[in-house]
Amino acid sequence: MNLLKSYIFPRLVQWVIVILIGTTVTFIIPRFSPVNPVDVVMASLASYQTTDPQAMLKLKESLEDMMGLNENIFVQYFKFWGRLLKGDLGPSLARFPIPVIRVIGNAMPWTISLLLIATILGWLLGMVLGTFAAYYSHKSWSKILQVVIMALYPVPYYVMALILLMIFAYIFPIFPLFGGVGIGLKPSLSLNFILSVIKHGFLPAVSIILVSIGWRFMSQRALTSTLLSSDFIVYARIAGVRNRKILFYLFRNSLLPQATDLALSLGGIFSGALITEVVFSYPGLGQILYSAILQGDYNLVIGISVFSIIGVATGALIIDLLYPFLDPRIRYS
Amino acid sequence: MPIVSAKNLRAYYIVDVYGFKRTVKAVDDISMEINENEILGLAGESGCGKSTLMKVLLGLVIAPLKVLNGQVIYSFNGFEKNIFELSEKELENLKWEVFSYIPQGSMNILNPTRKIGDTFFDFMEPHMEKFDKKYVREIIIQHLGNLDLPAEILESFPHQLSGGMKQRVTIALATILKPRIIFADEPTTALDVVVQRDVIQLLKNIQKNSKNTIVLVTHDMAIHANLATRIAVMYAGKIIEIAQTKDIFKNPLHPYTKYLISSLPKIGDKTYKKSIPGAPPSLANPPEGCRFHPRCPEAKKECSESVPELIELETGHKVACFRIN
Repeated sequence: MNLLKSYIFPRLVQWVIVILIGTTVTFIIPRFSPVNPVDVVMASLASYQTTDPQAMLKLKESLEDMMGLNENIFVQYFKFWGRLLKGDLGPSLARFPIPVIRVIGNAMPWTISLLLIATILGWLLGMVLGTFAAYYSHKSWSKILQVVIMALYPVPYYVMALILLMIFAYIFPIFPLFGGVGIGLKPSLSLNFILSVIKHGFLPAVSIILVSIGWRFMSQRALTSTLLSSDFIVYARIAGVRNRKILFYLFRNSLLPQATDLALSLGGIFSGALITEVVFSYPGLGQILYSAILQGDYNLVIGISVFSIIGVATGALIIDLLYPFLDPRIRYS
Repeated sequence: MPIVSAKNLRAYYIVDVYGFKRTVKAVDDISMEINENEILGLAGESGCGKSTLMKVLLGLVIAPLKVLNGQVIYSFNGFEKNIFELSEKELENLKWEVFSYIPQGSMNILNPTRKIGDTFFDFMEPHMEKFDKKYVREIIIQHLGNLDLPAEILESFPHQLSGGMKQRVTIALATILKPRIIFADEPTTALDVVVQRDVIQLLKNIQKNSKNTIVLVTHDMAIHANLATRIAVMYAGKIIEIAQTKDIFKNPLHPYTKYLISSLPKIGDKTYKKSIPGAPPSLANPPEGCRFHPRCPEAKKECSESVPELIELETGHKVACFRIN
């Protein structure tokens, strides 16, 4: 009970405040952008035919009315919250009248499955390789690994994505060039579908892992090297404690900062991996967000941002609640 | 036969950075013997090579420390080998079973994310043929009981213990496998005097009960007086005098030892304590001849020219000084 009051409750309040402020900011920012969804629709109409200016003005008015943009910004803001609390993010303005929630719902599973796996795998690989490379720093394989990862690290991830695409989809057509699943396949639990998803997601995942591993590897190696000279590791090694135990000591004691970073990057997956998705034509959130920004689709931008904000805030909340389990020195009274 | 004998040990810290070579002669031609069932105190001021000597005796030679010359022979139960010639496996087997080590600054030597009990398991596991947790736990609890430590600490994390408690846990950890020799490097630094007394008492009891050997490094002569049966005094990387504790305090022969003893405060004595003139030499560039001669009030010409040998004057009382010999 005391724990709930003194520890969990303040953190929940903090979580709500972060979401509140974040959502408000994302509500305001697109409205300052020079792109206006009404103008975008009008321009696309005007490029096909010439219309009577009077009719154009009428059309503009009725579009603004329909999209709810003709009201005072404060009224819009309160209406927005009223709808949001009911789970309604409004219609997509560029794909009017499809609801934003459905647009996001279609793309979300693709992005989450790709990024969740890639982020966790990248994290684990970076942690394990970093720890081993620091522990066995005198071995030649460790030195080679370091050079390879250092060389991969500065490569921009879109370049990495393009190189992978060229080699494994074009020169050696092992993997498909685009998409999230083979054409014509309907989502189902069949083996065929799942294999197709894995095949399509493989290259995007590898491109993310290869690049994200660099930072994780280097930070983990640095953390481990510091730990290696700390008294308790030196002493355990003098005493002849088994290697696997010492590796565990190292891993366990560097977990705290790394887990924080993992939680924050897991929260971040809700906004998608923009360039990766564009390069691989992957039907995820990043692509949708990109086109929504170009088309001034306020509702969709806000919708994706709200998910992202909730994701990051929840990630931080969960890790905050998990700290006492990760490090016994952290206790709340 | 002494359990450990060092012969002509020479161990230097050699640092070579971009061609700038710097050599610190921390242990320079030391021969000594450590007997069974004794507490040998290594005394000397900070930076005279006490800890380095102990590390070399342990076979704990990590770069930039290098052993240039000499051997450290361990002999017991028919085993007689130079520690520098052991294979890694043999050395692993010796550790904790034959000798163990209580390091300097024991405050941070317990894994902060592991319960004390698990740390005990980790340290014991490599030395157990069959690792039965329940049985091992009983051994640990009995050992803690012998040292007057509560069994509850096994469930604690290091940060939940006080500094003195941590030090005692470290001692328990180092003695759990009943080693023949315990090397203790400044086990009482950073503790207040009351806890110091407890720790000294603890070491004394362990030695009394299991009749093993303790090698104790500290600059605190009061602790040596309390604990050690024999004292070796080091100065600038060399042992200059070695004798029974009583003889060192009653009848110090080397001028440096004399200064050391006369600097100790005595109850009721209000005279002004003289300090040794000059400053300790740099071990990177020690003086020629007897290393103490620039500060020695009784130095002769000979002292600056050749190095005095450590010579036995009375039984068990050795000293390295031309003036005495």
